[in-house]
Amino acid sequence: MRIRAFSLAIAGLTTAGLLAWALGGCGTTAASPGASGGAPAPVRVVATTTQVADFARNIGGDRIQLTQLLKPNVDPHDYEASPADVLAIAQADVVLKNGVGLEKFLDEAISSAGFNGAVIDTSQGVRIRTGNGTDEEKAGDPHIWHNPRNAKIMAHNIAVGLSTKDPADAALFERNDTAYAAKLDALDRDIQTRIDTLPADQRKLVTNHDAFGYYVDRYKLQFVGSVIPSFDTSAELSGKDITDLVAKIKATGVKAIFSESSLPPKTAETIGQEAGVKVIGGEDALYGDTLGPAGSAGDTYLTMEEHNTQTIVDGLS
Amino acid sequence: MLHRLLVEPFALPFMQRALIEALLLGMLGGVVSVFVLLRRLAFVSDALTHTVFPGVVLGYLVAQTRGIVWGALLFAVLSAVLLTVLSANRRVTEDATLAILLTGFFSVGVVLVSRRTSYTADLTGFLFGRILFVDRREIVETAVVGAIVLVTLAALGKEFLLRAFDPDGAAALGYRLPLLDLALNVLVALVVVAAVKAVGTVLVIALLVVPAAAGRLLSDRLTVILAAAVAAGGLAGWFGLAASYQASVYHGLRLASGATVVLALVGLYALAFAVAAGRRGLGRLGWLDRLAAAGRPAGGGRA
Amino acid sequence: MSAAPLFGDAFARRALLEAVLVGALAGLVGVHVVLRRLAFFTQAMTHATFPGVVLAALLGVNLLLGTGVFGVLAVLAVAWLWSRQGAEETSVIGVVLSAGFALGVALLSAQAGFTRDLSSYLVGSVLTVGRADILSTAGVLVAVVLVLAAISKELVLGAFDRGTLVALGYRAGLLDVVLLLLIEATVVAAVPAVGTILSVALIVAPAATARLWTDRLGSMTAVAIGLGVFAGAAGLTISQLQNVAAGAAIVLVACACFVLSWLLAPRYGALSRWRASRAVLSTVDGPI
Repeated sequence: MRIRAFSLAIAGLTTAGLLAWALGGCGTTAASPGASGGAPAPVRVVATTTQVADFARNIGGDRIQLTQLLKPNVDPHDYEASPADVLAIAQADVVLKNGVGLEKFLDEAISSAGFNGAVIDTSQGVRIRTGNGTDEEKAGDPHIWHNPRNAKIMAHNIAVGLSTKDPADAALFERNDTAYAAKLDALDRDIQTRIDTLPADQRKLVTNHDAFGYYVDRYKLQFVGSVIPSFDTSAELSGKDITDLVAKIKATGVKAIFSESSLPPKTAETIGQEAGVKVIGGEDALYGDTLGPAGSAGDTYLTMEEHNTQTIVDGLS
Repeated sequence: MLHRLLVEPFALPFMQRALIEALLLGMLGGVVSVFVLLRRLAFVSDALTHTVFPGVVLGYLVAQTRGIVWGALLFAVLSAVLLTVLSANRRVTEDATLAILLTGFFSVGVVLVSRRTSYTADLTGFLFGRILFVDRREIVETAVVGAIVLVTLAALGKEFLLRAFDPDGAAALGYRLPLLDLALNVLVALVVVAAVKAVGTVLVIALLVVPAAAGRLLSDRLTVILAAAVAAGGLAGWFGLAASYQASVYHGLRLASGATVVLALVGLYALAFAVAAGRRGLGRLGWLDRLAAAGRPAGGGRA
Repeated sequence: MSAAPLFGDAFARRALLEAVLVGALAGLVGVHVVLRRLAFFTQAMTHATFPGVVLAALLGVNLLLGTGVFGVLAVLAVAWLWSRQGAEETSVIGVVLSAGFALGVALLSAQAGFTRDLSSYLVGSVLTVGRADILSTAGVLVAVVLVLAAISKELVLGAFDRGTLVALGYRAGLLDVVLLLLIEATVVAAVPAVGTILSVALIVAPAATARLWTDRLGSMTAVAIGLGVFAGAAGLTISQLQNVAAGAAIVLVACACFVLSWLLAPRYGALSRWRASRAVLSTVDGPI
């Protein structure tokens, strides 16, 4: 009697499996791009990070139809794909990624979506800093966009990639690229001028995690340490970690710890109290991994870098 | 309309694979949940989802993604053995042992993670699952694990049932009860390991508990409970994925697929509950009476 | 204690204070959890209150309020289902746990931009507790002490001899709900500060260990509280000296105490039971 019930269950499972398999065999045609007749449809673009999406908006304008996977203030580690995301990848013409190992989820998503179009690695041609030594940053430090010169390269890579997909609009993409590059140059000069207003011995940075390596290198700041020692944001700290960083802060005489918008400020506050320095967080937090939501001080790449610089200069002077 | 809700999403290959995986796991969970119900292993299932954590980390360190399953399995067996050994002391109840194993093993995992941080990139995936990303190979793996579990249950099912209903009788017949318990715990662990990728550790427990609990509401007969549990597990996978697709594609509302599957399962449980309540006659307001009786002083009351 | 220089830093002192408070609170409640076999319920509470965390963060209200409300809902759901199906039905707890946690995850995924407190919620971080955490833990501790002082005897009677309790005219069902609410309050106070895993470990492990050493409720409670406090202090010390996560270190100390006691406790330890059984065997062997 019971044995029969089990055989029944096994039979049920097998049939269901076979049925679904058979369905899979004949139904594999995903909704394919159907641009036919009339004005050419805009290029369908999927961008992974908030920064890359912002660059793509600046280059592509209304000639692209953009889907951005990571939402503002979401740590890439906590990314959870929705069916709509995978569908967008399946129907995309181009996928734009930051590269340098930031998008660990992307390979799975791409193979899951069955996407075999062009994946443009915007970090092509950027000089990559060595990572922090963990497996996580084997490929190098992925926060390349915090140097506006790298941002220029990334934007250019996007322009080239879009032009290959949509040659008819190549001239427009190139114009947009040139215009945006000028803005990035202006941003670069502006940041430099403002950092220069700081006394030389105050150009020291303690952040929540070390996302700002490229920024520190570009503007000759001194990096003292970070609250979370690696890119990883999940590990719990030990008492020793905290004591060590507090000692470092006291020894170098840094004035402030900068918290980041996508990370919990609690640990930074504990360390700030301990070392007797202020913690800059909340509304004024730096944008490290992502841009801010629309309407915030960091909703585009340009305003985000301006905000970060202003916050750092205010905090350290 | 119903077609658009329940069939159309699964024309897409990735949704199709997710559906197959969800159906396999749902029905497998349905079968195993009957034994979880009979042997009251709900907490064991929950504990196993945590005790495999250090195994997952170690497995990943040794052999990357391929090592996860084996590491998890090793620690599942280890914790099943420790549970049996530690509970041999009558002063220690099984639930206390489980809580201690659960927290102890999980903490070992946390120590490993905070020592070497390379695994945490997948920690969220481990906790919540990535059913939309399952590939053909993983489906085959699930099917193989499912076949192993079902064949073992078919072979040992009678013994497990005897153990559940008449432990003294089983012992008198010469069965070694700790070994039977260990075997069942390992089967539960196998389902946990198989389901981790799809729904994540914290939600696996739903697959192992809720289907049979729903079936139990409908009937006392084992075959009916089994059939209802398998049906509930399968349907929840289907409805849950469809709901997640519907919400995210047409309404711009991101709902994690693993969570919607579990919520669908809980919804079916609620439905079974309503059916059971209706059958007992809403006229007498059965549960209200009972609740009142539970709260009322049984004898005279106390000032 | 000679550990004074170790806890020279303010954050370490706050962590120590919180660990001591949670250890005492958990020891008090843990004795009842162990006697009534409510470990699974305790574990379920830590997860079922999760939607409260998410909603509180979304609405910008106090975390304690969110988890408290959801905790009470979960307690009522469990008590109600138990009243229908019998308290030995552990699957009821599994259903409530799954429902609560899945609801939390769904809410979390719907709200793009809020995932940041998640890992610290699960793993916890006792090193970063603030003054508010300490105050709320202390508040709950006082409340629990008062309630237990009033009804401790009844609760113990309910654990061992429910029939007599009912015969004496107590409302057994109501007492159960009060006990569940006490556990829920403990979980709600401890989880935001130290995480789910550490909360469950501190509630169950010291009390289960204490049960190996003594039969009397008073001494069992005292031992449980002492062990909880010891695990907190020793775990923090290890975390200060070695590079080990603090919460995990506390849990592992508590578990080590349990395993050692399981082996070595005077009457109920494995070693003495083994000796006793050998002694019995040898007397049996003797004459024949």
